[in-house]
Amino acid sequence: MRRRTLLGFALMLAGLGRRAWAQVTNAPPRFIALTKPVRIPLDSVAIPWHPAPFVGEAVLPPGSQTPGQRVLIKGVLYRKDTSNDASGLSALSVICPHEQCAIALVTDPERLAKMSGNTSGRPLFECACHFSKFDASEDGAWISGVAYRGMFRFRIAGVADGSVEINEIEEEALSVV
Amino acid sequence: MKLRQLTLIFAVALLATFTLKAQTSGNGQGGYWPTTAQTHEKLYVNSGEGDVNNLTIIDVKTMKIIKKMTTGKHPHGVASPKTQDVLYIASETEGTVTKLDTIKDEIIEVYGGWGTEPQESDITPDGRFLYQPSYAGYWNVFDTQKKEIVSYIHTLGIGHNTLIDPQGHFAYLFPIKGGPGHWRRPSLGLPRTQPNEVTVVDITKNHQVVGTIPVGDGPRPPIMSADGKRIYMDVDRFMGFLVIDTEARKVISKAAMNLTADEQAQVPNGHAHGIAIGNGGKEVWTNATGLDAVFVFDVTVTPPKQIARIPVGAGPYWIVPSQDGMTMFVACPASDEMMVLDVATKKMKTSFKFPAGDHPVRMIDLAVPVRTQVTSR
Repeated sequence: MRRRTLLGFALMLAGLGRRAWAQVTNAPPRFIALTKPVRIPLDSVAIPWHPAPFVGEAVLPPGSQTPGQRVLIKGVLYRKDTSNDASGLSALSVICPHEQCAIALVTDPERLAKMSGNTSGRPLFECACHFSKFDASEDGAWISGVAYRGMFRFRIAGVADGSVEINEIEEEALSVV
Repeated sequence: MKLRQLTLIFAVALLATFTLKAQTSGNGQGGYWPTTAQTHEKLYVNSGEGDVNNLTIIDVKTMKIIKKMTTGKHPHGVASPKTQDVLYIASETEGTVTKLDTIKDEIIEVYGGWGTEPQESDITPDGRFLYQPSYAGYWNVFDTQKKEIVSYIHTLGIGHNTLIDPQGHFAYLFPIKGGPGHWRRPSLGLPRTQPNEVTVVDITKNHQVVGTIPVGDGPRPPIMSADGKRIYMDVDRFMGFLVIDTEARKVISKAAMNLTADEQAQVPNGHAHGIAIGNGGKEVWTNATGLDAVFVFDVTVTPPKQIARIPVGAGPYWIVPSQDGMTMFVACPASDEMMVLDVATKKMKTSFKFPAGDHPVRMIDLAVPVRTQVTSR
């Protein structure tokens, strides 16, 4: 009876631990402000899947390994649908989280059909060095390959005066690129 | 007790790789071996993506494609012995090593059982032992005569790059440090850490580890001087390379790329990737992948002095010299091209375009015997 109680208690603890771990690992990413917002004309991303490149600048926050260090991050802004506001836009870093290689958007249907891991035919981002694939429709979510996570995301503040304003980047990106 | 546990873990790992049968080859960065007979210089370019035709064989004299072939997916290691009549290509996705006849450009055999993701190998000059690293954290030593693995060498880090000296005496094992993405791959029960060192193995003493060389951070692609006295090695978090004295077994200097403040901000955690020796051993060329450039250093002085910077295609990732050391081939997977650079003028001679999405990566330049004479097979 005592052993059963003990076992039950241990299982309960294990369950609680698992849940706590899941919560920690699913925690939303922390974002950090860019040194100055990036503004991109809304017209330049009017056509879906035609990315507009940009560079975002940020500094490593206090408590990081090299606080105050300036970091420049290459990104792309692109439209995922035919809406004409900010709702269908996505802004992502095009530096692979795995080994800092360049990631590019692939939209050519013939090439998409040949790419391993792609069964949807939807546009994908691909790392040229180690071939990780990311879902362009899902804000760069990881699909396959050696990258340990999806693409780093910029945050879009909104649209003002005909320009898209990008004002934040995932903090983790700064210590990886 | 601890020793017994470690022994058990390693034994399990050995069993996991027991299916093997393998063969070996080469010196990851061609151009070491003087040719003694009539040869045909060919460049073997592995494309990273694509299930078919992922090996392009180019006639170096004319820069025309001789043949396209299919080897294992995601090729990562290339090695060929002194005779250069065979080539071994490791496929990290399929876990195989393909042995190729470079005279006929035909596949001889495909071997499996290398453990997690076989990486960049090297082979003794006589072609006897292939040192084939596995991502799990060890090297397989494959006896090409017996066609069996005769030793496993565990280095704690992720098995990644290999060099064997021109005398066939010492092997240098370069485990990369890795990070979150790397640890997801199976370790086959072996403990893995980030050792920041090069492991030295005496090939002549039954493949015994005889020393380590601390390098301060994770080793990246290396290359060895023709006399075996120097190793030039890219390293994590450094835009440049280290110079290692192989006799003293220590780092003796560093060569840093001259970068602007904006360039430094683009690659604050970056490293060079791909390194080659040219111009009779006087120059070392290395890629700045994130900056789309190749940097050239004079290594006749200490520390090495930057003498040129050459813009290339997107994401330069691998570089190999021609047999005479006067041409450099730079694979740029992000723009699907290979740049051909002139060592004397430090300018681009031509570029070679691959189909979109091919992503050329690792290469080797071989002086292939024209007739079958002495071979390593």
